[in-house]
Amino acid sequence: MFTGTSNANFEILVGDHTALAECPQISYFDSKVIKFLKELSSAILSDELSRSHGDVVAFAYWIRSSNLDSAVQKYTIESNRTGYGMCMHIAPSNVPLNFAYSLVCSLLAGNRNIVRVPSRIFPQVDFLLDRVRKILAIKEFHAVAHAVCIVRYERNDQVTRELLKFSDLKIVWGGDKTVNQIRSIPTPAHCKEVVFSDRKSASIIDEKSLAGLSEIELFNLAEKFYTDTYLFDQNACSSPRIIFWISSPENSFSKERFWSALATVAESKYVLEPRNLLLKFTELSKIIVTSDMKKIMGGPGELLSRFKYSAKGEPLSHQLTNRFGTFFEHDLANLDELAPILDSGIQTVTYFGVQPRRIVEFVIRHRIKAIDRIVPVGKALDFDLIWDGYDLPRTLSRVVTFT
Amino acid sequence: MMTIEEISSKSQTLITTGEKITFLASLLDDLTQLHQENCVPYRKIVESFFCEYQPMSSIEQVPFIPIGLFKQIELKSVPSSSIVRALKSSGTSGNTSSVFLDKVTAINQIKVLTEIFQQSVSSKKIPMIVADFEHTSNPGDSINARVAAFKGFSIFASETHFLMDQNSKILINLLREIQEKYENSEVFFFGFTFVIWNDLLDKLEEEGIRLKFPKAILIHGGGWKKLTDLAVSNEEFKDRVKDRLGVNKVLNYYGMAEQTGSLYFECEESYLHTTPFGYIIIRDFKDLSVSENGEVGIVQLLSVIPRSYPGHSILTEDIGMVIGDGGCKCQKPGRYFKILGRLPEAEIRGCSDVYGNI
Repeated sequence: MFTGTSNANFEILVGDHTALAECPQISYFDSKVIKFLKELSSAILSDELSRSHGDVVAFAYWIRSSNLDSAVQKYTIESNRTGYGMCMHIAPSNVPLNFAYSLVCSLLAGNRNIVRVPSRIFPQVDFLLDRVRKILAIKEFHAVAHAVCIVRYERNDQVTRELLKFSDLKIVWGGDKTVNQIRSIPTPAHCKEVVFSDRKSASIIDEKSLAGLSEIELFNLAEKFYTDTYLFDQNACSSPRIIFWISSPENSFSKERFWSALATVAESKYVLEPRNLLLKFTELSKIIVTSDMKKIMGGPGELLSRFKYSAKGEPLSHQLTNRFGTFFEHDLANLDELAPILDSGIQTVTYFGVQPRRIVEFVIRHRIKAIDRIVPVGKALDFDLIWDGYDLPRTLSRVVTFT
Repeated sequence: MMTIEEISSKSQTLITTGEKITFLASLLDDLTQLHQENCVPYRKIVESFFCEYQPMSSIEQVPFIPIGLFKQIELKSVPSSSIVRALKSSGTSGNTSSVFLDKVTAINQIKVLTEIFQQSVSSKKIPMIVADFEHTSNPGDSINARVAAFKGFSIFASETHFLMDQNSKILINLLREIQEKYENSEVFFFGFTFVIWNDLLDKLEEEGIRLKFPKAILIHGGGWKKLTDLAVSNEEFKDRVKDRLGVNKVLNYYGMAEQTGSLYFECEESYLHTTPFGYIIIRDFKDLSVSENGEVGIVQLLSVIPRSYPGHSILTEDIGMVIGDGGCKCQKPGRYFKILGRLPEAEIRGCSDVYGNI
């Protein structure tokens, strides 16, 4: 029996934390789970109050009926899959709804779940959980409710350890520090783990294709790029921090057009809070001091800062500490020049004017450890059932073989 | 480079505010040049972000670096062998900031503090009563800002008494003895704003004690953040000091560990004043341009002291407002200002770290 409730800060937000060792009552891509998610999606999308929480709407849109139906089609070809049992989720404290995506993946895989949501109170978390609770209370979702326990507590290894005792599987989000921290807590020997370490992302843009854009098309592209980057201060692991230009000497002006369009978009939308302005100033100074990178434009009081990337020193993913509208850039004659620059810390590549197929081929041809995900500019932040190279429903379930 | 004595006497010959500021700007320009020559990281920053900087233009043109940088990298303008002390201050973010002092800078801190103290508090040595316990350290040790502050002020003390034991408990009996001995003499109390409020005044109230030190001065600093959180104003602070400790003259000071020695004392009108050794500029929250007097913005502090590290012009995390240049009712000349607190913490967006401390 779990005893962590003695901790004053431990709150059970959804579900029941007793009898954690019981087997799940749901199966792999269970129709009850699918139905529950669809109902949750329409409940949110039809609720006017949800409009003030963009991230809740995005989540509801992700679990909309048509999206789930295509996932069911893709994943239920295999009939010999089943969940592992109990899955513990450690969600990052600063992406309010990350836990919900993690939970959905694991529910689809057929697991019971204990989910730690951010200890900080976010209104959108409470909003979402309120809807989840209401739908789980419906009798036909009893088996789903049995699979969902959502808790909130301040960082506390003792509580985490108690919860992990019952886990057959754990999912840890949030980066190297957290992964190592959670790894230091003992778990049952058979407990599987899926961890998300520190990752950084990049863009590949073809100058020649850029040169062919009309003013309106260029601004559309800049808006999309803005969403991928400025929206989360470039803190998201999938937000590009460096642009690799496939250069075309006669079209080199096109990158200046792109930057000036981006600066215009940022001027009209981005708010750099004073505290972050100081942080940006400190971080820009650190880049200048500790690397060979040269500033192209944009001091601490400006919304767009550009640096000429210099490969000297640490691996690229360690150098990409830039954020708050700071971009490194590097010219390439062709994709192959990228191979020695990338390292295993690079996750997403957003592209414009380059065939994504060519980027996949490049990764495979060079057998590099980098790049798990290749999406068009504008889609960097879209969550997918395949993340960081893991096919999550498959990774979170097991195969029962028979001969 | 001028000595502190030369700066002081030259400054006294200057009459208009404009002349004084031009003189201060030239001293700061010399420091900018000194640090560019001797501190490569500083030079790279100035070249990258202040490429239009030209000496002898105006005090607003002096390059500045963010205070957070002292927590990120070691900034020195002298060889390591010349460093006599490292001054540590622990910020709210957990990282420690380091400031490296050579002999000249360490001595100049004391000289400047002495000048400022003599002008604002007392020109002769008087007993000092510290609302803290006695921290011991050996020469050459790195010390924290709190210890550095009372060590700095202790040079004006004819004798020193510590009001706390090593467990931060107020020694009430000692305080009573001190009152008997000094009730009618000039003494100065010294302590951190929050410690005085929270430890000393709370304890006196708890014990139902009201003391009387009609000729004493209380000097306090170290920031209002915790008291602002408790919604305690400067007025309330002064009233409670009067009521419980019986001290009528209360002087708040403002300064940074990164510019130790260069303090700004409050006048009778409760405004802080610049000195011949230090200056303040307020900058815009959005683009860091210079704000007009009366506008609230980010505080930039300038000081003639730092020679062993490039800390003569720092962009702080504080919010302030310049009230005017000359014309304060207290008759003191020069720029006077108010500090309004610290910049609020920003919301963290995105997925950088996690399970951690948030």
